[in-house]
Amino acid sequence: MFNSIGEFLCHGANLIIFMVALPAICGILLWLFQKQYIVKLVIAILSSVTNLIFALGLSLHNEFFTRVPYAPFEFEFLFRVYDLCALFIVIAAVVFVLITLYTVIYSKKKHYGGLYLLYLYISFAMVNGALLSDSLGSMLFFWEGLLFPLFGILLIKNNNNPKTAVKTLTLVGLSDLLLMLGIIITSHTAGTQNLSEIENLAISGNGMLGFICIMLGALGMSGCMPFHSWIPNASDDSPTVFMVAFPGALQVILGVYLALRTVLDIYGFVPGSGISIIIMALGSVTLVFAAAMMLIQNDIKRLISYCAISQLGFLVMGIGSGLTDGIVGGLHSLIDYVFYITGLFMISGIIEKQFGTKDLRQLSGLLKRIPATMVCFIIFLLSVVGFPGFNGFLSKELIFNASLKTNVIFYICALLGTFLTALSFLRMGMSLFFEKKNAPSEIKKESKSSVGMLIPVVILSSLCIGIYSQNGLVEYALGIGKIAGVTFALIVLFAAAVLLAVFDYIYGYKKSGNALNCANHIIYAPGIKRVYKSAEKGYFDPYNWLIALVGGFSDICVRMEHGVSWVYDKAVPGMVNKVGLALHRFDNGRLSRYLYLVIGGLVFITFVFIIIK
Amino acid sequence: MNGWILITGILIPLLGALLLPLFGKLSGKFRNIMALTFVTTAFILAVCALTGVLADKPFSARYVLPLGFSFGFLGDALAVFLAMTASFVSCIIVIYSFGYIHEYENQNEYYMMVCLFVGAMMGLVYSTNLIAIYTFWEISSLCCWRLIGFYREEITIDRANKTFIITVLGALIMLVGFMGIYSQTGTFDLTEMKGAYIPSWCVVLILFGILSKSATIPLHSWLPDAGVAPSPVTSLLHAAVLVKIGVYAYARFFVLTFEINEAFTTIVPVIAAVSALYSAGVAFRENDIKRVLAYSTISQLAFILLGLSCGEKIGIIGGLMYIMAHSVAKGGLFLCAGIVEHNIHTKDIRKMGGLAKTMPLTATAFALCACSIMGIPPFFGFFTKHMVIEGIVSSGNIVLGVLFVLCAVMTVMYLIRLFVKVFFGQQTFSEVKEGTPIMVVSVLILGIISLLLGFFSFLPSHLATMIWGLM
Repeated sequence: MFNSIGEFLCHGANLIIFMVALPAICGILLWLFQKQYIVKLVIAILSSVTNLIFALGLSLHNEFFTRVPYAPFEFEFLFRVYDLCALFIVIAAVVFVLITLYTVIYSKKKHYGGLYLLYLYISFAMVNGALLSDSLGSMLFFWEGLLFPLFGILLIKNNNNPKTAVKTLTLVGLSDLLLMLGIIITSHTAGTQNLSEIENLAISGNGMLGFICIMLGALGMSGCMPFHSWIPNASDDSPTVFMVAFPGALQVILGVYLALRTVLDIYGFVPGSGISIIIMALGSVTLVFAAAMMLIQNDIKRLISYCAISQLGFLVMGIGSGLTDGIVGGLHSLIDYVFYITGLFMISGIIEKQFGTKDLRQLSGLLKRIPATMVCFIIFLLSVVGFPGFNGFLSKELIFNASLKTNVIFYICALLGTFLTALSFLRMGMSLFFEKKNAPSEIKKESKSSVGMLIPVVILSSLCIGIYSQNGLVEYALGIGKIAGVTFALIVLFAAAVLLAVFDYIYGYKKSGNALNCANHIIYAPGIKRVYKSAEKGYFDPYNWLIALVGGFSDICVRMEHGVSWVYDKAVPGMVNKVGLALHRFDNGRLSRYLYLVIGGLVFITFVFIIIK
Repeated sequence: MNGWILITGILIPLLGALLLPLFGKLSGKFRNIMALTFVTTAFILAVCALTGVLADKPFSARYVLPLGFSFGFLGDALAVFLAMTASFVSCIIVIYSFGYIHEYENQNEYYMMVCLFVGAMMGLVYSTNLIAIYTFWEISSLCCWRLIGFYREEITIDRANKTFIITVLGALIMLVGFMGIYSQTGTFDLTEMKGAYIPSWCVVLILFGILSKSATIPLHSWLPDAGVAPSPVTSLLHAAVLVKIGVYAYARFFVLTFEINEAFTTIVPVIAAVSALYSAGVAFRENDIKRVLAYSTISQLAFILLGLSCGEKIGIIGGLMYIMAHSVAKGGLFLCAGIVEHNIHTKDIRKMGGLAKTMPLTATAFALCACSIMGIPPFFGFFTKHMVIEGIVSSGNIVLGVLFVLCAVMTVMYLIRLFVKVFFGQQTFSEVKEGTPIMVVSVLILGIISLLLGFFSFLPSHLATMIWGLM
């Protein structure tokens, strides 16, 4: 069946109609039927499952190209389906089914449900289009097409306070425009826009600029530093379903896909090269900074959003190493990331919906209230940390391996990141589920809708129990043989980092008497305290730097403009006035003056004639 | 053959404009309908002229005068492209004016000047004679002067005078350049000068005229100041027609007709880059809604100029398409600003907020048009911006490419700031309603066209490619 579906999709414009146009049309239908819950649910399930079937059909079909002829000059809508792209399409489709189901249930009685689903489906159409594109131009088209729904969704609940929407659009827009520049330079250097025709461009001269811009665009879409700071803000201001879908899945899938293509295919990326070190450093900083920020968060969604950023740092380290271990680890890590980060955001949504708050200080002892959710949470926690037997284990160990091979500093950062992540999750998990403190005054029983929302969480958590990582799927998609296992020594060191986190938690708990304050001895340590304060004030937020920079430049321009206006409005008219007045005074009716003028004129004309002659 | 279509396209709005005050004496509605009819006729005839372009037999007319002078009109791809764009947006602006201008005095003069202006634009784009081009150029300046001073207040008259002086001075300097060309070639007819090399001093003089009309730094100062005019006027002048005259002239003279010194493919993009960055910087700090849009126009015109001057096929085609994208979208933005200003009686964005709740359709139209200017897919502006930057990178000026990407980033920043300050945040005017249906429909049409042109971008691209074929 899947083969015949693949065969059908590879003909003519079927691919673009069914993988791009159809989700967008279904989004419109969902918007139109926003008040009919059952109809909405049926359309959502049917459309997302159909999309999954199409994706599976494509993944089982042989490689093929297709072209949509309607495009402006030199702008090709060219699509290609092959192993890596097919894997990403399937990942996106699987997650999309779960996200859609969760979203429809979550937004059952919410006035924005229909509009949100419309934006979500348009975004998904764009993601499909970008993943299937073989032309850099069409990839950019779909990529940047995400901006509009992204901005729209963030405005939904924030008409009165659109700061986060503006911040998001600015940062993602900046990364998108950098990507545009990178794509233009890359196509110019390669002499073609077609990805399948571009191979191993040199990362030097213009190529270096092109590579950097594309990577910044890709990582910016994912939410890596320095484009990350909108994600925690969005966790405050946006519906949970937004966090589930966008930073949790779609954006990362897209960003990592392009980063992988860039490193593997487009540019001749050399492991251990200067640019590799820079990317790994960016990944390390992202990992450690975001993991450290997790320690001071009291909002579940904010904490998970920093966790998402931090895990992205791992991913970037893996891809940036350029080593087989790192790349395979990075791709494994992406799949894990999508499962556990999406799952964790879903859990935060369940808790928020059920208990009316996402503030950790107001929530505790939820073990008996939501045991199933807690089990899923623990599975996600173990997967995030990289516990053996869970998905994160293999990917983390491979990235550790690649980090150590590149530079021991990266390895230490990876260990530090693991320690901080484990400690943060212990803090959150223990406080949420096991600690007894001031519980919310009216804790309701798990409602029916929450059970419905739990289904995708259960599916995602079951996907986190290390099944897929053993079958070589990733290696197949990357076109490489099965990689060697990780060394025992590294596993021991990794285990030590996790154990250290456990001991530190116990120490902190005993010292403070409270799970939430278990990391106070770190947070308030001399030197570190000031760093945290600065971070909380936004001193490390690149968005604030950007605004300050643009503001400063604008101030200079405004001052110059005042000068220009003064010239036009005051200086020139003043000068003309003065000349007029002088002439007026000169024109006093005395014969002698006119006589001087005539003589002067005659002398001038004679002089001119002499010169011409 | 078929040259009468072009001449009729010029004469109907030109001569019709002179009749409008008379019609106004009879009935205001009749005058309005006739004004729309004249402008629409110009558009329909431009579409008719398109058939000639598509059949590769462009309409033309030529009249020989004594003493070796001649006047010619040619409806080639460039002329028809510009004529269609300008007359279409002008039609929408005239329709919008029915709702905006009806409460003011001097309506007879207003409609007369608008029609005259459209006629002058048609004459300018179809003419092949430099003197005719200059004449229509100055007619447009005259109309501009009267339209900016529409309110007859002291400040508006000052600003109108400023605009008139700068643009006319620029045109006079350009005229000296034309004389220089005549002294070299012995003719004013552009069709006879194709491929002629013209000296750099002539190019510089003509550039004065072009840059003053297209409000490029440092000759830009009149454009933000002219925001005191009624919004349909600012839309007509700042977005759809007047400022496009300059870039049209650049395309006609320096892309399609003359050979110029290679150095100008660097000098003009550099001027454009400075203009784009500088005006984007000012736009980010401005608090007057129309001044933000005016500075944005200066910045976006620099993108067009960049595309046309980079010397690369993709850049030139992108620049031409950008003219259309900008005309439609910026026209819509100015008209939206007009609805806002008309309803809340202020242009200060610090006093606005939350208007999306009371004016959702205007907010939607504004968002659609802004997306096109920002270059967000699938809007038309995305393709044009991409092509222009690709053009400059292909020409080897990667630094300029980077600068223009920065400008694009700033475009996103100042337009989002504007959009959010006006339509979101705390509601300041809770009792404000949408504009009149005719005004709202006008802006929605422009917003939707900005989007549709993105989906059907291959159509204007085809026409722009034909313009390239004229080279």
